[in-house]
Amino acid sequence: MTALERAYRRLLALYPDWFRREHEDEMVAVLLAGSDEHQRRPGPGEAVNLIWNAVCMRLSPQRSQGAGDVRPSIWLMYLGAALELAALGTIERSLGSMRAAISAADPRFTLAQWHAVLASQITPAMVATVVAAGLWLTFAWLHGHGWRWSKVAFGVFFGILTYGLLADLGQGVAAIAPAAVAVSGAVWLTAFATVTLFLRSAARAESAWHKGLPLRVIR
Amino acid sequence: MQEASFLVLTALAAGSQHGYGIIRDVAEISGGRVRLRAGTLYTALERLREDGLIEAEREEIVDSRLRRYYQLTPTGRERLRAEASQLEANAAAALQRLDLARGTAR
Repeated sequence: MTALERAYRRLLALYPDWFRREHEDEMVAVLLAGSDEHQRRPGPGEAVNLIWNAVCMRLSPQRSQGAGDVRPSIWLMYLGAALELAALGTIERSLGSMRAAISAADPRFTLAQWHAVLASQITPAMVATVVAAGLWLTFAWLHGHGWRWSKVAFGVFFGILTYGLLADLGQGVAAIAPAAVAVSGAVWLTAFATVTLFLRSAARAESAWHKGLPLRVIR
Repeated sequence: MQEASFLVLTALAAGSQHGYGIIRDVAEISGGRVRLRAGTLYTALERLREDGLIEAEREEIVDSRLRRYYQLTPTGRERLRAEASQLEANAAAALQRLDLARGTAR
Protein backbone atom coordinates (compact mmCIF):
# COMPACT_ATOMS: atom_id res chain seq x y z
CA MET A 1 0.00 0.00 0.00
CA THR A 2 1.44 3.38 -0.96
CA ALA A 3 1.71 6.33 1.43
CA LEU A 4 -1.00 8.11 -0.58
CA GLU A 5 -3.43 5.18 -0.30
CA ARG A 6 -2.77 4.95 3.45
CA ALA A 7 -3.50 8.68 3.79
CA TYR A 8 -6.77 8.32 1.84
CA ARG A 9 -7.82 5.36 3.96
CA ARG A 10 -7.13 7.36 7.13
CA LEU A 11 -9.54 10.03 5.86
CA LEU A 12 -12.12 7.42 4.81
CA ALA A 13 -11.98 6.02 8.37
CA LEU A 14 -14.00 9.10 9.35
CA TYR A 15 -17.05 7.74 7.49
CA PRO A 16 -19.62 5.50 9.23
CA ASP A 17 -18.85 1.76 9.17
CA TRP A 18 -21.69 0.81 6.83
CA PHE A 19 -20.58 3.44 4.32
CA ARG A 20 -16.98 2.18 4.39
CA ARG A 21 -18.13 -1.39 3.84
CA GLU A 22 -20.06 -0.25 0.78
CA HIS A 23 -17.65 2.22 -0.80
CA GLU A 24 -14.17 2.41 0.76
CA ASP A 25 -12.27 0.21 -1.72
CA GLU A 26 -14.08 1.77 -4.63
CA MET A 27 -13.43 5.32 -3.39
CA VAL A 28 -9.74 4.55 -2.88
CA ALA A 29 -9.59 3.39 -6.51
CA VAL A 30 -11.33 6.59 -7.68
CA LEU A 31 -9.11 8.83 -5.53
CA LEU A 32 -5.94 7.13 -6.76
CA ALA A 33 -7.13 7.32 -10.37
CA GLY A 34 -7.57 11.07 -9.93
CA SER A 35 -4.19 11.65 -8.29
CA ASP A 36 -0.89 12.64 -9.89
CA GLU A 37 1.80 10.04 -10.43
CA HIS A 38 4.18 11.47 -7.84
CA GLN A 39 1.57 12.64 -5.37
CA ARG A 40 2.28 11.47 -1.81
CA ARG A 41 -0.46 13.24 0.15
CA PRO A 42 -4.14 14.03 -0.53
CA GLY A 43 -4.63 17.55 -1.84
CA PRO A 44 -6.18 19.97 0.67
CA GLY A 45 -9.37 20.32 -1.41
CA GLU A 46 -9.83 16.55 -1.64
CA ALA A 47 -9.15 16.13 2.10
CA VAL A 48 -11.60 18.86 3.13
CA ASN A 49 -14.24 17.38 0.77
CA LEU A 50 -13.80 13.90 2.28
CA ILE A 51 -13.96 15.22 5.86
CA TRP A 52 -17.01 17.37 5.11
CA ASN A 53 -18.91 14.50 3.43
CA ALA A 54 -17.94 12.10 6.24
CA VAL A 55 -19.43 14.55 8.75
CA CYS A 56 -22.60 14.88 6.62
CA MET A 57 -22.91 11.09 6.38
CA ARG A 58 -22.55 10.78 10.15
CA LEU A 59 -25.09 13.52 10.90
CA SER A 60 -27.77 12.50 8.43
CA PRO A 61 -30.15 9.92 9.88
CA GLN A 62 -29.39 6.77 7.99
CA ARG A 63 -32.18 5.22 6.05
CA SER A 64 -29.95 2.67 4.45
CA GLN A 65 -27.89 0.59 6.81
CA GLY A 66 -28.23 -2.46 4.64
CA ALA A 67 -30.30 -4.87 6.68
CA GLY A 68 -33.00 -2.26 7.37
CA ASP A 69 -33.43 -3.09 11.04
CA VAL A 70 -32.23 0.21 12.46
CA ARG A 71 -35.74 1.51 12.97
CA PRO A 72 -37.11 -1.39 15.05
CA SER A 73 -34.11 -1.20 17.40
CA ILE A 74 -34.54 2.57 17.72
CA TRP A 75 -38.20 2.13 18.62
CA LEU A 76 -37.18 -0.47 21.23
CA MET A 77 -34.74 2.09 22.66
CA TYR A 78 -37.52 4.71 22.91
CA LEU A 79 -39.65 2.08 24.64
CA GLY A 80 -36.75 1.42 27.05
CA ALA A 81 -36.58 5.15 27.91
CA ALA A 82 -40.36 5.28 28.46
CA LEU A 83 -40.21 2.22 30.72
CA GLU A 84 -37.40 3.79 32.78
CA LEU A 85 -39.64 6.82 33.40
CA ALA A 86 -42.50 4.44 34.26
CA ALA A 87 -40.14 2.77 36.77
CA LEU A 88 -39.41 6.20 38.29
CA GLY A 89 -43.14 6.86 38.71
CA THR A 90 -43.69 3.40 40.15
CA ILE A 91 -40.94 3.86 42.77
CA GLU A 92 -42.39 7.24 43.77
CA ARG A 93 -45.92 5.87 44.08
CA SER A 94 -44.85 2.81 46.09
CA LEU A 95 -42.80 4.72 48.72
CA GLY A 96 -45.61 4.27 51.29
CA SER A 97 -46.08 0.57 50.62
CA MET A 98 -42.31 0.03 50.71
CA ARG A 99 -42.06 1.59 54.14
CA ALA A 100 -45.05 -0.48 55.31
CA ALA A 101 -43.48 -3.68 53.96
CA ILE A 102 -40.17 -2.96 55.75
CA SER A 103 -41.97 -2.07 58.99
CA ALA A 104 -44.03 -5.27 58.79
CA ALA A 105 -40.85 -7.30 58.50
CA ASP A 106 -39.07 -5.33 61.26
CA PRO A 107 -41.43 -3.74 63.84
CA ARG A 108 -38.53 -1.73 65.38
CA PHE A 109 -37.87 0.10 62.08
CA THR A 110 -37.71 3.82 62.93
CA LEU A 111 -38.41 6.98 60.93
CA ALA A 112 -34.69 7.83 61.06
CA GLN A 113 -33.84 4.45 59.56
CA TRP A 114 -36.42 5.04 56.83
CA HIS A 115 -34.77 8.35 55.98
CA ALA A 116 -31.44 6.57 55.83
CA VAL A 117 -32.86 3.96 53.43
CA LEU A 118 -34.40 6.76 51.36
CA ALA A 119 -31.09 8.63 51.12
CA SER A 120 -28.81 5.64 50.63
CA GLN A 121 -30.88 3.41 48.36
CA ILE A 122 -34.18 4.72 47.06
CA THR A 123 -33.07 8.21 45.95
CA PRO A 124 -29.98 6.83 44.13
CA ALA A 125 -32.26 4.25 42.46
CA MET A 126 -34.57 7.05 41.28
CA VAL A 127 -31.64 9.10 39.96
CA ALA A 128 -30.36 5.96 38.22
CA THR A 129 -33.66 5.50 36.35
CA VAL A 130 -33.50 9.10 35.07
CA VAL A 131 -29.88 8.61 33.97
CA ALA A 132 -30.82 5.31 32.33
CA ALA A 133 -33.71 6.94 30.44
CA GLY A 134 -31.21 9.52 29.13
CA LEU A 135 -28.83 6.74 28.12
CA TRP A 136 -31.58 4.89 26.21
CA LEU A 137 -32.36 8.08 24.26
CA THR A 138 -28.66 8.73 23.66
CA PHE A 139 -28.23 5.21 22.29
CA ALA A 140 -31.26 5.68 20.03
CA TRP A 141 -29.70 8.87 18.63
CA LEU A 142 -26.21 7.39 18.21
CA HIS A 143 -27.54 4.21 16.63
CA GLY A 144 -29.77 6.19 14.26
CA HIS A 145 -26.75 8.21 13.16
CA GLY A 146 -24.63 5.17 12.44
CA TRP A 147 -22.14 5.55 15.31
CA ARG A 148 -19.88 2.58 14.85
CA TRP A 149 -19.63 1.65 18.56
CA SER A 150 -23.35 1.95 19.36
CA LYS A 151 -23.93 -1.80 19.48
CA VAL A 152 -20.88 -2.47 21.64
CA ALA A 153 -21.77 0.37 24.03
CA PHE A 154 -25.34 -0.88 24.22
CA GLY A 155 -24.01 -4.37 25.03
CA VAL A 156 -22.15 -2.90 28.03
CA PHE A 157 -25.32 -1.05 29.08
CA PHE A 158 -27.27 -4.31 28.82
CA GLY A 159 -24.68 -5.97 31.07
CA ILE A 160 -25.12 -3.23 33.69
CA LEU A 161 -28.94 -3.53 33.52
CA THR A 162 -28.68 -7.30 33.98
CA TYR A 163 -26.35 -6.88 36.96
CA GLY A 164 -28.65 -4.26 38.53
CA LEU A 165 -31.74 -6.44 38.16
CA LEU A 166 -29.98 -9.51 39.61
CA ALA A 167 -28.63 -7.42 42.51
CA ASP A 168 -32.17 -6.12 43.27
CA LEU A 169 -33.57 -9.63 43.19
CA GLY A 170 -30.69 -10.88 45.38
CA GLN A 171 -31.37 -8.18 48.00
CA GLY A 172 -35.03 -9.15 48.19
CA VAL A 173 -36.30 -5.89 46.69
CA ALA A 174 -39.07 -7.89 44.97
CA ALA A 175 -40.73 -8.48 48.35
CA ILE A 176 -40.66 -4.76 49.26
CA ALA A 177 -41.35 -3.10 45.89
CA PRO A 178 -42.82 -5.75 43.57
CA ALA A 179 -44.23 -3.21 41.07
CA ALA A 180 -40.87 -1.45 40.62
CA VAL A 181 -39.09 -4.77 40.11
CA ALA A 182 -41.73 -5.80 37.55
CA VAL A 183 -41.10 -2.60 35.56
CA SER A 184 -37.32 -3.18 35.83
CA GLY A 185 -37.97 -6.66 34.42
CA ALA A 186 -39.82 -5.11 31.47
CA VAL A 187 -36.86 -2.73 30.93
CA TRP A 188 -34.48 -5.69 30.93
CA LEU A 189 -36.66 -7.61 28.43
CA THR A 190 -36.66 -4.57 26.12
CA ALA A 191 -32.85 -4.39 26.31
CA PHE A 192 -32.66 -8.13 25.69
CA ALA A 193 -34.89 -7.80 22.60
CA THR A 194 -32.66 -4.95 21.32
CA VAL A 195 -29.48 -7.00 21.74
CA THR A 196 -31.14 -9.99 20.00
CA LEU A 197 -32.06 -7.72 17.09
CA PHE A 198 -28.44 -6.51 16.85
CA LEU A 199 -27.12 -10.07 16.76
CA ARG A 200 -29.62 -11.08 14.10
CA SER A 201 -28.79 -8.07 11.93
CA ALA A 202 -25.04 -8.76 12.27
CA ALA A 203 -25.64 -12.31 11.02
CA ARG A 204 -27.36 -11.08 7.86
CA ALA A 205 -25.65 -7.73 7.32
CA GLU A 206 -25.81 -7.53 3.56
CA SER A 207 -24.95 -4.79 1.17
CA ALA A 208 -27.73 -2.53 -0.05
CA TRP A 209 -25.92 -2.21 -3.36
CA HIS A 210 -24.86 -5.57 -4.59
CA LYS A 211 -27.26 -8.42 -4.32
CA GLY A 212 -25.72 -11.13 -6.44
CA LEU A 213 -24.01 -8.67 -8.80
CA PRO A 214 -21.86 -10.20 -11.53
CA LEU A 215 -18.16 -9.80 -10.68
CA ARG A 216 -15.41 -9.98 -13.31
CA VAL A 217 -11.69 -10.00 -12.57
CA ILE A 218 -9.56 -8.17 -15.15
CA ARG A 219 -5.76 -8.10 -14.87
CA MET B 1 -32.73 18.27 -7.56
CA GLN B 2 -29.17 19.40 -6.82
CA GLU B 3 -26.92 20.03 -9.78
CA ALA B 4 -24.47 17.27 -8.77
CA SER B 5 -27.32 14.71 -8.70
CA PHE B 6 -28.67 15.95 -12.05
CA LEU B 7 -25.25 15.68 -13.69
CA VAL B 8 -24.60 12.21 -12.23
CA LEU B 9 -27.95 11.00 -13.62
CA THR B 10 -27.12 12.62 -16.97
CA ALA B 11 -23.75 10.84 -17.01
CA LEU B 12 -25.58 7.53 -16.53
CA ALA B 13 -28.32 8.24 -19.09
CA ALA B 14 -26.44 6.70 -22.02
CA GLY B 15 -25.27 3.60 -20.15
CA SER B 16 -23.65 2.29 -16.98
CA GLN B 17 -20.41 3.82 -15.69
CA HIS B 18 -18.04 3.39 -12.76
CA GLY B 19 -17.17 6.11 -10.24
CA TYR B 20 -14.16 7.61 -11.98
CA GLY B 21 -15.97 7.43 -15.34
CA ILE B 22 -18.83 9.47 -13.87
CA ILE B 23 -16.39 12.13 -12.59
CA ARG B 24 -14.79 12.49 -16.03
CA ASP B 25 -18.14 12.48 -17.80
CA VAL B 26 -19.63 15.13 -15.51
CA ALA B 27 -16.60 17.35 -16.20
CA GLU B 28 -17.18 16.88 -19.93
CA ILE B 29 -20.96 17.43 -19.81
CA SER B 30 -20.55 20.65 -17.83
CA GLY B 31 -17.76 21.90 -20.08
CA GLY B 32 -15.21 21.58 -17.28
CA ARG B 33 -17.24 23.77 -14.93
CA VAL B 34 -18.18 20.99 -12.46
CA ARG B 35 -15.39 18.77 -11.16
CA LEU B 36 -16.95 16.29 -8.75
CA ARG B 37 -14.74 15.17 -5.90
CA ALA B 38 -14.92 11.59 -4.65
CA GLY B 39 -16.61 12.56 -1.36
CA THR B 40 -19.34 14.52 -3.15
CA LEU B 41 -19.85 11.78 -5.77
CA TYR B 42 -20.35 8.96 -3.29
CA THR B 43 -22.66 11.00 -1.07
CA ALA B 44 -24.73 11.76 -4.19
CA LEU B 45 -24.69 8.10 -5.32
CA GLU B 46 -25.86 6.97 -1.87
CA ARG B 47 -28.69 9.52 -1.89
CA LEU B 48 -29.75 8.58 -5.43
CA ARG B 49 -29.81 4.88 -4.51
CA GLU B 50 -31.94 5.61 -1.43
CA ASP B 51 -34.38 7.44 -3.69
CA GLY B 52 -34.45 4.44 -6.04
CA LEU B 53 -33.03 6.40 -9.00
CA ILE B 54 -29.85 4.35 -9.57
CA GLU B 55 -28.59 0.84 -8.86
CA ALA B 56 -25.36 -1.10 -9.19
CA GLU B 57 -25.08 -3.03 -12.45
CA ARG B 58 -21.87 -5.05 -12.09
CA GLU B 59 -18.49 -5.10 -10.41
CA GLU B 60 -15.03 -5.58 -11.78
CA ILE B 61 -11.66 -6.03 -10.18
CA VAL B 62 -9.16 -4.19 -12.39
CA ASP B 63 -5.49 -4.33 -11.29
CA SER B 64 -6.78 -5.63 -7.94
CA ARG B 65 -8.93 -2.48 -7.51
CA LEU B 66 -12.71 -2.65 -7.19
CA ARG B 67 -14.83 -0.97 -9.83
CA ARG B 68 -18.59 -0.85 -9.45
CA TYR B 69 -20.74 0.15 -12.40
CA TYR B 70 -23.88 2.18 -11.78
CA GLN B 71 -26.96 2.48 -13.96
CA LEU B 72 -30.27 4.35 -13.94
CA THR B 73 -33.36 2.53 -12.71
CA PRO B 74 -36.59 3.02 -14.73
CA THR B 75 -37.66 5.51 -12.02
CA GLY B 76 -34.32 7.31 -12.40
CA ARG B 77 -34.79 7.53 -16.16
CA GLU B 78 -38.30 9.01 -15.73
CA ARG B 79 -37.12 11.42 -13.07
CA LEU B 80 -34.22 12.67 -15.21
CA ARG B 81 -36.55 13.15 -18.19
CA ALA B 82 -39.03 15.13 -16.06
CA GLU B 83 -36.24 17.23 -14.55
CA ALA B 84 -34.64 17.93 -17.95
CA SER B 85 -38.02 18.92 -19.48
CA GLN B 86 -38.63 21.27 -16.58
CA LEU B 87 -35.20 22.89 -17.00
CA GLU B 88 -35.78 23.17 -20.75
CA ALA B 89 -39.17 24.86 -20.20
CA ASN B 90 -37.64 27.25 -17.63
CA ALA B 91 -34.76 28.10 -19.95
CA ALA B 92 -37.13 28.69 -22.90
CA ALA B 93 -39.31 30.95 -20.75
CA ALA B 94 -36.25 32.91 -19.59
CA LEU B 95 -34.96 33.41 -23.15
CA GLN B 96 -38.43 34.38 -24.40
CA ARG B 97 -38.80 37.04 -21.68
CA LEU B 98 -35.32 38.38 -22.43
CA ASP B 99 -36.15 38.67 -26.13
CA LEU B 100 -39.44 40.35 -25.26
CA ALA B 101 -37.68 42.86 -23.02
CA ARG B 102 -35.17 43.62 -25.76
CA GLY B 103 -38.05 44.12 -28.21
CA THR B 104 -39.85 46.65 -25.98
CA ALA B 105 -36.59 48.46 -25.17
CA ARG B 106 -36.09 49.35 -28.83
